[in-house]
Amino acid sequence: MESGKQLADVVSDSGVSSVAIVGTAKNVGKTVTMNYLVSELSAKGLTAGLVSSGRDGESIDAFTGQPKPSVVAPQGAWVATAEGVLRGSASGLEIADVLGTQGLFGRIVLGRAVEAVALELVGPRSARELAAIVNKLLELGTDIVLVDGALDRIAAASPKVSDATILATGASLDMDLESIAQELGFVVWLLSRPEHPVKAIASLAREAVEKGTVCFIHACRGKEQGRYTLRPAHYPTVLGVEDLVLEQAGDAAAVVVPGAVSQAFLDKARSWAKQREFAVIASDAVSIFASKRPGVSLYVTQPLNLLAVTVNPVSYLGVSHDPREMVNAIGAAFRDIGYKLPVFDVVSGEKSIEGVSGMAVG
Amino acid sequence: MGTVIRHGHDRATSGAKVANTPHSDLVLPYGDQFNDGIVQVSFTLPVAAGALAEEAARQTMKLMGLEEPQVAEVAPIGENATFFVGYGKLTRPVELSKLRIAKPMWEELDQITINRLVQETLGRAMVVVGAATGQDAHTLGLDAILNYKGFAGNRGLEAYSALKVVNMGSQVPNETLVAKAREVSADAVLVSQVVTERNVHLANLTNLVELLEAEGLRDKVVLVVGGPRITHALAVELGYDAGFGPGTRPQDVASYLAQEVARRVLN
Repeated sequence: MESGKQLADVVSDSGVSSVAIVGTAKNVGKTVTMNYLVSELSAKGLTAGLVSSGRDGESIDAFTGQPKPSVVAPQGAWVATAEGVLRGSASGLEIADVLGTQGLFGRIVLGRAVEAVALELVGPRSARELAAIVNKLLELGTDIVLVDGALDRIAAASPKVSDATILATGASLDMDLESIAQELGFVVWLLSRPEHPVKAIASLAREAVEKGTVCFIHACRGKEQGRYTLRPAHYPTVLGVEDLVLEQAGDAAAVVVPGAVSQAFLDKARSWAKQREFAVIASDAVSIFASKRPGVSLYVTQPLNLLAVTVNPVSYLGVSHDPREMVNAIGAAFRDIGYKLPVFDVVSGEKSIEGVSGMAVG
Repeated sequence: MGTVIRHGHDRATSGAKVANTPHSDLVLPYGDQFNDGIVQVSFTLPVAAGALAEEAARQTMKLMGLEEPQVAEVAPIGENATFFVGYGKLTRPVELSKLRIAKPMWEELDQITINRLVQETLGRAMVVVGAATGQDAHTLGLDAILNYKGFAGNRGLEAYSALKVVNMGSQVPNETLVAKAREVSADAVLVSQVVTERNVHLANLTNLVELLEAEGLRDKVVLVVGGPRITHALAVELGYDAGFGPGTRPQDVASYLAQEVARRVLN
């Protein structure tokens, strides 16, 4: 097709050492995207590593009973998976390490593909264990680790786990094209939350997250105008104490929440903020549990590096969108909210105006 | 560009020879003899009883993968629906040696051993918070596991001296459950959930995992889900440590909790 960057180029040019592929729902093409990427990155001479935050590449979907694509590790690629699923694929892998971490089918093993091998990936149960495996794969000499997110979970995108994120979406998300584009616009807005634009506030917010305590940030008055101070609220969380926390806000310019930022907290912060400038600062986008735009300024201390969006126009329920129409509708939805994010359909090779064609295996 | 990889493959083996004796690795349903593949099905079609409905029933059975479909019983249900019982033959066997069953790794312990194991490992009682979350108004399963009187003659978790149980009841929002788990420094969180046919509860179950991750609590608790449609494999894929399905007794859950906490302390 047209000249320009492929999804694999976007990833390799970004220079990141780990990428999470997370989905807006199940069956949106995360595995297809991962297979495409690992194959293309290997062709570029990069040593890729593969790990899943759930289960990936099993032949039959546990929920829908539908056939699923296998994960294919090219020769030389590293994989992390549970020992219990290796059986047939074990001969294609050179095992380098066995971790104490328990997955669904026993301990997690790290191995290198001595030849191209189709296998099932099973990951550990927590983000902390996942981060440890990503680091281990990098230590073993991997250039770039691809982390497959489980179901609709986005914990793999946490900056604690991976450097960058690809968002996979598709017809599984919603049947109607307009709703898909709208919903996706919101998700992208959420995952793109930046740092607070005032450097001093952003820096104090990072300090607050390290403390692990909900904190307020106040502007200094008089001679010290332009400077800010941090005031702990003595709560480790806002869950269940939304009102109590906000009652302590006083004339704060921002509240920093080191844990989960719930929709209930955002709703209350919104009415609090009505009178003046007031911002909510979360640790990262993965910690924000918003179901709609909150109507209050929302920032993070560690922004995600959202590289691209992939679309899968075909749902397992049989609903299929015209790939070009779908890619264009989603590209347009992003432009409406001011994002220049490349959109790829890795199956048919459609691309948005900002993006370019990509071709998938499978 | 790239290699073309075929999508999916089936666990069943087509065309393989199936012995009509017991203890074969390849198995088919038993109708009148071993591995004859005969099954009985029943269903309702929204079609008035008659020749058209019967043909539709036979086609439905064919679409199920049944060969030689026969309609055995026809019963009209009102004016525009018909109930069918049919027979048909399955020819693709399941290969037992290729199946993998995921089960939580624990052995059954008695109440005294469980209490002693918990006390030895933690030096105190284990704090267990239980709730039926989201829109789920069912507390039957939760109460059967947690309440003192238990279930089927098997006493509930409240009856264990080494378990301190906080039963939050039904329709508990995930945020409230997580706040409580933090407040009481929970060692284990038990969620009861009826995962429905359309899987609408699944998003609620993954949401709880994400909330615990965001709050930095995921590694600090043993996270368990139970319900009529829950399997261990499903639970782990959702991000839980273990899943318990129908027929689970309180002692099963207590045995698992005690051994999992011990495993974590030892590691």
